Amino acid sequence: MLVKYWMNKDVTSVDVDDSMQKATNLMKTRAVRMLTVMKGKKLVGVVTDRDLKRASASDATSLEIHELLYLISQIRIKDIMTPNVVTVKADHTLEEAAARLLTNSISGAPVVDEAGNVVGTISQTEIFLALVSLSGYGKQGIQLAFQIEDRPGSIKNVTDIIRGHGGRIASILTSTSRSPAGFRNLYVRAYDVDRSAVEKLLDELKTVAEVLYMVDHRENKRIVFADQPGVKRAASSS
Amino acid sequence: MLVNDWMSAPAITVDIQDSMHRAVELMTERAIGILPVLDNGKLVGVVTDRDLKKAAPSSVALFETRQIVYHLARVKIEGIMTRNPVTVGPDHTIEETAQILRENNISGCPVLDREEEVAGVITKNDIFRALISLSGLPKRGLQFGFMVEDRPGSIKEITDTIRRYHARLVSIMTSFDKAPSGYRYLYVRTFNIDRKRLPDMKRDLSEIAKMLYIVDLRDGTRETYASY
Repeated sequence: MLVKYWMNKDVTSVDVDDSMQKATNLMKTRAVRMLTVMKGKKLVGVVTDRDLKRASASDATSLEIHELLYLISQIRIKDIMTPNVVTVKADHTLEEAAARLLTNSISGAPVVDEAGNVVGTISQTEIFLALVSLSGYGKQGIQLAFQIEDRPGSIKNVTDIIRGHGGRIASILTSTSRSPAGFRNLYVRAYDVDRSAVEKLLDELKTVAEVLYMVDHRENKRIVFADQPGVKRAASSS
Repeated sequence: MLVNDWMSAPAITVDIQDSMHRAVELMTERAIGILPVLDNGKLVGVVTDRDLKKAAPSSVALFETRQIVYHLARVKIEGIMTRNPVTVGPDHTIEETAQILRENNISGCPVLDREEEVAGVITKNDIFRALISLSGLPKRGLQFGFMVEDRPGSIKEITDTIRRYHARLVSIMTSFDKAPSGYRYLYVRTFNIDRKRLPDMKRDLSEIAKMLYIVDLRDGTRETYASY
């Protein structure tokens, strides 16, 4: 789950002295939303579709078309780019990259190697693709959610039962952010589960954990066991 | 991980007859990028910050303030909104929603309950937050990358080894993407590892699977092994 494995390696860049028009054209033809801005071999900024939009004419403008075209032709990348660019390191994990994008409120960032060279870009889109792929969603299996005690062995109790029903594990995810102290939420995605015995599987699982929901992607079936008496809700859920 | 637990609710909405000014005001004050548009309480569209930008005077154009104010007050939501918006249900998973947003190339969408009422709004940022919450406590624990044989039990052998060292499991993710036929990639996040026993644990793990990398999130040290 390292960034270098999931990033876009086809970096499109512009020079700091290029025209805004060149950036607009590149974004259109390459279908990208962010360009790295170079001064020689040095990364000095990024320019995003948002930067372009902000500097472009709107449908509502009252300027004459030739005035507009002149104004736009005068704009250089350095006038509209975002300097002091936030970068992500190639050997960081996807979670670290996601956290960095989120805390900086950006949709993507250039990826740099140890020497500081730009080796790719990573955006929310790439992280989304990775998330979907890594969760095993594409395998058309089932996802089960539980509230379990936060102690050694509590996950194993659950996965042993799923394996006992032929299930192969695609992913196991846990979170403590929406559960009360002493508990955590567990999300298991499994495939090859024997569909004829799903009821029995659920009954067995209920003996070792509180089942929150089951989504069967192949059958498009959703069962939400909301507000069961045994489920302890966190004091604040928002 | 259902949409219900991660969406913004109740949704901040606008009426189809509201002015563009109202949408700008709400998006700025509440720092949001998408507003469901209602007509008699029913969802008929969405207006996004992109719709607003498209319809707003540009910063290059030298408008007078009073022209801008007039423009914003005069233009109705109906004229700038996106009709027939993509929606998801509160019982959709985060992964399904991520896929739907991606396929439609949008950054968020309204959440409709069974009664076709707007229950909330889910955005890429909400999904990101869900993802980060699942990655466990920041700056704690270790993440391992492996290549394992694709057969029943290959994950269990690794988790059993990790448990033998009293380490606790945060997450396991797998991917067949780009893995050689017959293999899959496995990513395991753990915590509560005795760092003094880490070399022994690494040795035991590398005997049962091909180790790709180790990232120690506590101190940021990273070891990447060949060919990954």
